[in-house]
Amino acid sequence: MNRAVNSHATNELTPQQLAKIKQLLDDSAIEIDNKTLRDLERSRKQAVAVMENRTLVAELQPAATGWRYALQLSQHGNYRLWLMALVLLAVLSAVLGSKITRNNGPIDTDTLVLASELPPEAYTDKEFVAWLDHTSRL
Amino acid sequence: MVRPYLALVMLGLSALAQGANDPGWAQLSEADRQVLAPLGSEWDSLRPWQREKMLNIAHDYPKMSTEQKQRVQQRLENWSRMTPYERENIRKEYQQFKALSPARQEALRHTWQEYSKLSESDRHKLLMDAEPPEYDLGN
Repeated sequence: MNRAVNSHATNELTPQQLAKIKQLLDDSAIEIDNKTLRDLERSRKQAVAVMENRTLVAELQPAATGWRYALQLSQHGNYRLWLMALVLLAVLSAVLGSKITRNNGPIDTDTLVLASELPPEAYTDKEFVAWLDHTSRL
Repeated sequence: MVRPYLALVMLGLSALAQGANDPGWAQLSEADRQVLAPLGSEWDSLRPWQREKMLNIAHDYPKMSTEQKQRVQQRLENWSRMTPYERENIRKEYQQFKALSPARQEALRHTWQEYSKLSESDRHKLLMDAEPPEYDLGN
């Protein structure tokens, strides 16, 4: 079977043969009636649709393979292993996610308060508020 | 048979996650320990949410100027001893302070400096003077 396919693949047309076929097609294209043109157009669209579907399947192939193996594990009684791997990934994602957010996020309000020129005590000091009141009356 | 192992693994994972979010003093990185040194003696008695807040400060530390770093180090201990209510009030006041014009912020900072020079008794006197008068209700 494979040998037959290979011999068919190696049985390529020569440039001269291709040129002759192209010439015959060009000549006959002029004589094609409208019905045949519509049939050809429909066939072409169908062929393109099939090609697009094949491309999508090829893109999803790695993910599909991963899930297939995971399902095989669960069918062979290894679903616990599969579950553990899933839990491990979830935990690691949570830990790494929180670290990334912590390191790259905006500066925390508490840090800003502590680093401010006005110390935190200034906001809670009743006597200072009184002092502000006193100086504003002067 | 596998179930006990699964339980152990789950327990281990949850401990790992817990340890990552709520580390003891010994589990902190060297850099975090240096920043949080003023809290070293009491770190392990802090509640998880307090530790998380302090760790946020430690992680912001490298983004600060030298002057800001010094202020944070000086104020960290006192800050950790405040109640959540006090800290929340201060955050609100801080937001109001930041909403002021730069000139008013500068004036307030200057007033604080002047106030800091006053003695305890003078400060107390100011508080007494500023209190509203008590009304005689005729009782």
